[in-house]
Amino acid sequence: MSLDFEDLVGRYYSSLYKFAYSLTQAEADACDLTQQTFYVWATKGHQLRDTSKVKTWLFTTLHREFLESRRRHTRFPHYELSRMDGELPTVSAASVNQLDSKGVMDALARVDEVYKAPVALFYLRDCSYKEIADILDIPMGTVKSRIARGIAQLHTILSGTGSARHKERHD
Amino acid sequence: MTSQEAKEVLVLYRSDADRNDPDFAPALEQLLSDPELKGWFDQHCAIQKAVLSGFDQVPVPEGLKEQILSERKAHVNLGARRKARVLVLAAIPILLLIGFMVFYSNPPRRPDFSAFRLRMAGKVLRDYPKMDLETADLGQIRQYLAEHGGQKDYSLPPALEKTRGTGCAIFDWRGKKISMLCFNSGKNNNPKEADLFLFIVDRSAVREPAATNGAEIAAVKRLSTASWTSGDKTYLLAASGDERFLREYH
Repeated sequence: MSLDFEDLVGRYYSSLYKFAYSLTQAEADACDLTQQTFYVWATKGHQLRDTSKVKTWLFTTLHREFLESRRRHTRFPHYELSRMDGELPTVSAASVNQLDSKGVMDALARVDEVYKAPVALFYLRDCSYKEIADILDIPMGTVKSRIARGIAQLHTILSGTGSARHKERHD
Repeated sequence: MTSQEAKEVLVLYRSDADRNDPDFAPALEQLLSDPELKGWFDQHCAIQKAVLSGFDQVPVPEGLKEQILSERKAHVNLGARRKARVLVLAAIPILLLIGFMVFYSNPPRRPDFSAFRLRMAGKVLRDYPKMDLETADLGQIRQYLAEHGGQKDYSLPPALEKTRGTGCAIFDWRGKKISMLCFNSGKNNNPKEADLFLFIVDRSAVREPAATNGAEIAAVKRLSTASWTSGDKTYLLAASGDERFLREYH
């Protein structure tokens, strides 16, 4: 794999920006995180020995930078649910047809923080489950659990049945 | 595998990314013999397709790629210029003359102040408390910055001179040296936690530096900022409080 800086930027900046935007919901913050990620690569990327892991390294770095920025502002609720409980909510055909990127991002913004990053990486489709687990530094089973729960929340929000957050927390 | 178990597997299925993943094979096979499951899956796929499309359509700002590349080039160019400077100093006067002529005929493009302010605000929100030196002593901070390539001879507003320090850091931004001084106003619960951040950059390092005739107040991200230029330095003070809080310190 080519590690030429310009090649890497061309290959990943769009996906990294979308991941950053999914996390921050703000264009300026997402641009800043994406720039910072490549800046860190430019200064520390040479330390990566396994060049096949560049993509994972970039996403991991962006996620860490994001967490660092939020560390002092937010305490993430940590709770695990081993499996989905119940059916996914039904989303009407009309709701589906009206979905655009703003609608999807607005809905994602209302998903619990702990599910947001796994769900964003899931929908970006750049990463396998193993890669998502590596990026978020959590076990594969936890990744799948969080994605499933996050999708359920997202569908609940998209179905217009209100914020999933409170309902899920009390399940 | 029950129908519910199959749904729990299939909810994670991405038709393009997971097609060859053997973990999904049994559940996908069950679709052939379970009409209710098949109906649920078709509806699920329709929603997923719409959400995926929403992700695909998130607009990436124009010029972001160029910004990333130009930041890198500025960093590389600075390194190259430093090496060139060493060679020129060791070479004969003619090379020195040529070197200066080349340098001045092609001056590097300087980033503008607003980009500096935006990135420093991002740094406050993201990087703190990564400080090179942690101390409450402003004298020690001044000495550290002077001895480690940071800005020297900076002048602090009187109110900041009386404020407790928490530390400092020196870092590069687009090839320019930045000094960051951190302070604690005494208005939060942790005396070691900074809530005021002063960035100092050489005035010549940025285009359109802050005004010299008073501070400019601006809200950037979740911060209040005040910026001014004095002598050969440009200052940016950032605080997580509101504008009134910030005005007490510059």
